[in-house]
Amino acid sequence: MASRTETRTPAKLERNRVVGKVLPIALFVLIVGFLGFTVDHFFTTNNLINILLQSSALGFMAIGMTAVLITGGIDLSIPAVMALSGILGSMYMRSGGDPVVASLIMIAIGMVGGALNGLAVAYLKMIPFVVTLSTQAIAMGACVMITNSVSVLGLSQSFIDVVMSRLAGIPTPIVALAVVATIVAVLSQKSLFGRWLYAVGMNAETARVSGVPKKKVLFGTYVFAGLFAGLAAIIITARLSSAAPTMGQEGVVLNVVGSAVVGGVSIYGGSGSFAGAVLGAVIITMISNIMNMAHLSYYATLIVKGLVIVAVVAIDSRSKRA
Amino acid sequence: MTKTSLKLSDIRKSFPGVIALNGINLEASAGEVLALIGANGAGKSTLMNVLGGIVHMDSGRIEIDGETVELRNPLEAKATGIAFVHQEMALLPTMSITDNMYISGYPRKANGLIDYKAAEIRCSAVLTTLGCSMPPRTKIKSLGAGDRQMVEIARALLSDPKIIIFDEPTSSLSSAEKTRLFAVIRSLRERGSTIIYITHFLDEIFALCDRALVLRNGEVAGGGKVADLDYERIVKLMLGRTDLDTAKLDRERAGSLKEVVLKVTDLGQKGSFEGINLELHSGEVVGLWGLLGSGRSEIARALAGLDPVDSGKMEVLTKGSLKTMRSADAKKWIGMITENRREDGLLSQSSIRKNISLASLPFLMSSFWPFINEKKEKSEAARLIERLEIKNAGMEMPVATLSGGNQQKVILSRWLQKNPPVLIMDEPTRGLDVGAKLEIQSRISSLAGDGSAILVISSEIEEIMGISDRYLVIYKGRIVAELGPDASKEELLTAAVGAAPVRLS
Amino acid sequence: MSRGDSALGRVAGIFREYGFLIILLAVILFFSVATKRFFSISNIMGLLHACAPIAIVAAGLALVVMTGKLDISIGSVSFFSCAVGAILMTRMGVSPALALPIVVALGALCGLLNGLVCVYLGVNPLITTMGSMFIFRGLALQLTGSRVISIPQSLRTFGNFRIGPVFLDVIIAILFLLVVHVLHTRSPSGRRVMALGNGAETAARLGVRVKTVSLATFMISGLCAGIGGLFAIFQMGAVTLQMGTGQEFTAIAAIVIGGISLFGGEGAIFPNYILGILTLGIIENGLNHLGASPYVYPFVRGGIILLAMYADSLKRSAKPLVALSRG
Repeated sequence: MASRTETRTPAKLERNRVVGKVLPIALFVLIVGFLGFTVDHFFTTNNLINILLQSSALGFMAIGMTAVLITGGIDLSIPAVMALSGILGSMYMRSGGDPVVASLIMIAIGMVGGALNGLAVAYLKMIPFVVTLSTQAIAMGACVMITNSVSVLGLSQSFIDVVMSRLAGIPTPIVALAVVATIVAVLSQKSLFGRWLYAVGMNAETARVSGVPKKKVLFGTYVFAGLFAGLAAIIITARLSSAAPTMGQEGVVLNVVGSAVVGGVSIYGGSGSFAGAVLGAVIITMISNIMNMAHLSYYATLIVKGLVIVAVVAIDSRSKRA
Repeated sequence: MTKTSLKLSDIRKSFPGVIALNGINLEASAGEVLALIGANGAGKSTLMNVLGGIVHMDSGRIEIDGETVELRNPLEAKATGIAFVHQEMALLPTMSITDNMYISGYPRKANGLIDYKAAEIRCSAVLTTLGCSMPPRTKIKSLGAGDRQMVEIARALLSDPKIIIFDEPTSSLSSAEKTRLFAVIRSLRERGSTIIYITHFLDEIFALCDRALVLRNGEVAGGGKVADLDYERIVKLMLGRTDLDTAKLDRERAGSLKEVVLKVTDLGQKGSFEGINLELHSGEVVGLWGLLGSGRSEIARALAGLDPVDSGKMEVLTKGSLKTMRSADAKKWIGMITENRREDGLLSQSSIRKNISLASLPFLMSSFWPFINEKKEKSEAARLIERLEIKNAGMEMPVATLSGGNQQKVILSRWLQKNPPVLIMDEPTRGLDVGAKLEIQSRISSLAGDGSAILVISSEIEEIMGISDRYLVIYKGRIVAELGPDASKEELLTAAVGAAPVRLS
Repeated sequence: MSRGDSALGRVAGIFREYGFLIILLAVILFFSVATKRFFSISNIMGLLHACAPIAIVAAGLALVVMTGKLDISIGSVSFFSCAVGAILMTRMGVSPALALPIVVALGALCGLLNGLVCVYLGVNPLITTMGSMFIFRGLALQLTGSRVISIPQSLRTFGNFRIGPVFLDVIIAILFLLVVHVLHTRSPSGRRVMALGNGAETAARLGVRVKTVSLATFMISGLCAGIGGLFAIFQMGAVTLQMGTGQEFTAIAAIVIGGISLFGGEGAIFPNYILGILTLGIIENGLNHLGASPYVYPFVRGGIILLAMYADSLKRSAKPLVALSRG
């Protein structure tokens, strides 16, 4: 987003690093502590599994968003693309299509959306925020137009059963998220693309001078985000047994950005972990639950989340300046 | 007739670790053009910053028209009648000439709105005295470099200054624009202004200036009336004793010159350079020598594939023969150490190890998993750290914790690891202390000894003489001379200022 | 590849400079031909009437964009400040003479908050205004209890008042924009807004107080959001739940279609901004006449923004920036 001069002192870098890692863990402990205290039966297996299940789709989207954030960009269209892919996949199933193919359709649509964003940002050098704001509106427009604001029902039962099944008592989405998150986390630290990703985020010019294919990397991150939007679509449509444009409504993007930010991913790029983002998703879900319990209206939750995001980013900004 | 309008007495200024100005005495009169010459680091910029109120001197006295003044900030400097035309133009491209000239203080009407009529009349008046006829409403972005500079000058003249300082004004001008600039400066002189003209280009001094002052190492090396000076004398003053010979670093030259690794034909980039032809052989160090603004860095960046070119072709030695290469592929064969390591040389948040391996990652992959072989990465980094003697507290520490010299070594290691056939270095020892400089210089030598073809840009003549096997001299975007290993300082300097290389007896 | 001097280069140059005008004319032509009743007085007047609120709301955003930044909270600020006003008038019996200035002041205050966070806490304007967008909307919905709040009938009459065929609020809007335009082009502060858009560093070197100017533009954005919101509720007679939703998007579309670059430093209220608003209004009005479903609008706006950004990026890469002296 903004250009950065490398003026951070070593002391500040350390503090930055520490804050990025400590913040999500501290928040997590705080909130779990709070809930454990106030809610009866909080630490039951059932309840904990429930929370993780609630967070799973968000977790996938947060992973996608994190990749984009690390490069210093942002993708506001993730929820909308997720909704669109969910709708299209569901419609396919409704007309008798095979559920596996439907899942692939969802992933494919997600990646197409991501490719569009990636093309605009990486090759046409447009501003990520505005581009993804536009693709979000287009995707939501498409959702509403295709469904006429009516939920898509009639998903194939086998699809729902498989996605919502349990492996050794743990719901599949949770297992899937854990496995995928682990793979992504490991790859981000150890693979070539992972190194390139962080390099581009830290200093795109240095990366370019050193031979890192900047444009390809940028393009790839947006496609990656789209892919994960598609994965999230699979989970959500199975959980709801339906698909509707409301899946991508405005509050969702707040959750996704919030998950990443609370999970220690910097808006300015170059730092943050995928594991942190998933933890952030769980934290955001728990915060939503707390607000529900406190009978805060939906709108109040928007306010709180907005404040949280701005506050965390403000702290991040302070630690990056003098 | 000559009234001293500006007098600087014993100006001293130090920064931590370096004495920038060591007792400068300067006098300039109304109606004269005084040239201020000196190599980089001689103290010109610091002196000008003192006059401009940007930097405070430690001691000394400044008198204008006989009255002692204190210049605490740029506004006070302006108020005492000093105006600057900086090398880097501060212009707003989408706005009009009038806006650019008056943005810091518009004339206002009674109702508080800008009095554009008055502003435009004044703008036109000032522009006319400069021989310009651009309508004041013209937007800056549609003006060429020469016209833009006229606007800068016009803005400086708005306050009717007594003393006008030009800092390297001709770097981006065509020769026609330069002629016009000189006419303008002459007319300013006729009107009684005092003009200080900072430049590298000796031919301009002889064409335009009345007197000259040469700075060296923060002191006045000498000067006098331009009519009494010539090239050789000025060059001598800039350099110091001419019998000072720089010890050429020893290098094991494995036999005669090897094969051509890079061949460049007629390379050009609009507005920066043109007609560049050169050949680099493996095992040699070629010094790309020229003054600031000559286009050296632009050529280097274009060769490394970082910036696009408009014409010409590049051929690289692949599998035994020279094959044409696209500019975009240059990065495979040509590595570049850029001018400003803080801007685009380092990932400062990242560790030393990762900074070193950044250009070689595809070669550090595990054979089995799609992972980077960290063991190999670490051992390679350790090897390089030891070889270059990078002082560090552990290779996992952020590279920002290192001193400038060690940071530069990290960047050097990065390219050593990749080991491309051609390596371009733009100011590789900038900002380093003497010890670090010598170290890097000897590394460069040994790199060439190992077979790389190296192109070095440096603003320090001793340095480039110490490491180069031969020289390509750049002046205004063209190669004006190719000099062999025993070229002297004088030859290099005179070639760089656009005159034919002069050999002193 | 040499350009500029060829005939094709010249056509491309004209299109770059006046593209927005050409598009407007093309759009008018298209819809006049494609639909009946498009060119009628009543339709045109209705169109202008419908455009008036957004024209005011987005004017402040236009200034922010000209400094090279963005403010997507305008819809929510509009909603929030008007909700407060409506509640004051309807539920607490405060007279409009007091409530309306409060609305405007509240808008400015919201803008000020945005500005303080961006400029003094250093948070990215995109994140700040995205956050405040949700915060203000949430506050507004909380205050209104998710119910429609109507406003005094007198205001509604005023909002739809006509002098002959012309709506009063259109006239007021035009006057308002005229004032903004004059201040933008002929006051030192207005000129400094443009200077900032040319580059904060250069502007600072020239003595422009970058932080103050930036803060002021955010405040004006909030102010315009408040005032424009009033125009909207006067027309409707009430504050609805969906007020201001997606308005920032429409605003950005209108701004870019008028040729104002999102990178800052370019454009003016007359002609760019006005034409942009009109073009967008005409497109949507025309689509309405063509019987297009309301679902089409997000596509149209999104598509417009992407196309305009693409054109803008072409414009930037076509002219190599004349090399400012460098070492």
